[in-house]
Amino acid sequence: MSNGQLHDDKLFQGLSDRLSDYEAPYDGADWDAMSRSLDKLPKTNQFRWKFSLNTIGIMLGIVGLTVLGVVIAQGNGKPSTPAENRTPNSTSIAPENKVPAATNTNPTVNNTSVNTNVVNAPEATSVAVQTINTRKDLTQPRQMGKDNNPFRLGDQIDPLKGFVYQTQEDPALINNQHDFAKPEVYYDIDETTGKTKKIYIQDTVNGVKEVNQTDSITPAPQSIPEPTAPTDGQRIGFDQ
Amino acid sequence: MTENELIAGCVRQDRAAQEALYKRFYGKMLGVCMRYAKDRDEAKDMLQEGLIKVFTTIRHFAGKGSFEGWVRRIVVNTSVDHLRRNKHQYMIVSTVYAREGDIPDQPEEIEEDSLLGQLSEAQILEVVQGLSPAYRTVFNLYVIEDFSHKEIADQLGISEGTSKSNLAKARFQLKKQLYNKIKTADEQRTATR
Repeated sequence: MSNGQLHDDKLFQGLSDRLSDYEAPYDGADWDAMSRSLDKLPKTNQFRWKFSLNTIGIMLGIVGLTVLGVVIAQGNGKPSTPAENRTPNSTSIAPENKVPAATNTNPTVNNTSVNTNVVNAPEATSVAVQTINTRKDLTQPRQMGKDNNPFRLGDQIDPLKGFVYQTQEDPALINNQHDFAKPEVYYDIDETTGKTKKIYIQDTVNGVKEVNQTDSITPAPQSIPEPTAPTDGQRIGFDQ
Repeated sequence: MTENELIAGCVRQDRAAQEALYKRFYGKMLGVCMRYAKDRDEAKDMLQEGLIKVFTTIRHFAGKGSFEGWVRRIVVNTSVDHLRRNKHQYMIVSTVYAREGDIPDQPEEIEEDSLLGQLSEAQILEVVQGLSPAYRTVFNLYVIEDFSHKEIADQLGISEGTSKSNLAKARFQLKKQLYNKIKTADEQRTATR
């Protein structure tokens, strides 16, 4: 900041020299006034701002986390609602024999090949499919700790019924399950003699079949030949 | 107490350090304010306002350059702001002064070098305080603070032409008033003899 012209003006140069370092005499009363003014100033102005900014930041963080939690919770609950709306009449079918067979009134046709045998069986008490509204009835544990999303790999989306779950049951176990209320082997007893008169065997493939008492079960042919005693000088084994 | 200790104490808002700093800069800064003010009371108001700014912003002093220069700059800016806040009040006075001073009486017979030698600083300061606020501010910024006309124009929100015009009128006024002061002083000295 220099105008560079003061040296040309003797009056201004003289005034600058005389007034630049001028010091006014001290008046002690002025400090008292200044001290009172300083007392009125907020002493912790800076820290108050810091505190308020921190407070605002913390509150915003809490609110943000709360909103995020609500959004996540709502996001997990949303998929079940449209599925339920799309399959209002879907039948709840339990995969185990504990549920009576009479409840199997509407088996799901759109199923995988694994479950086809089960659906076609007239006496099947288990159906390997269920819609999403029956998910809560499953006894299978859900991975609540890891993921709240009820859908898993292998779940299907049916355009008519919505989300269709594929159970994790072994179909072989389902076919081999026995209903003791309806045995597979029946027999009639002659009341006069007290002997067995007729025997019926129910097969899931051939249906009910009558078996005579004289029928015998022929053993399976032996595929392994009888070992022969080795002779002297004759080698046996892989060289033959 | 060293200057750094003073600054550190003022940052901690230690009252003893604030008082020491106040006393250290009081004389010089009040002298600065008196050049911008019309009297000592107004100068004290400017000084108090400026030093409060110093105390409240001293933590921002980066330590680069002179601390006294930093304080002085704050006090000057506060004084100019004080005048600008009261611009409406001063503008009326300034217009009257400007009309009276358009054609100043030129004391041709007096040499400029000898004018100031016959007066004390307090008497010179009285002459400066007798200028209108507009002239006084331009005079202070140009002559004492060594601002250029462009910087003065930016600082005061006026044109460079106005700054130059005010400075020229201030010069005439100062020369005239200094001459009158010397003349009055001579008459008083003659009367006392």
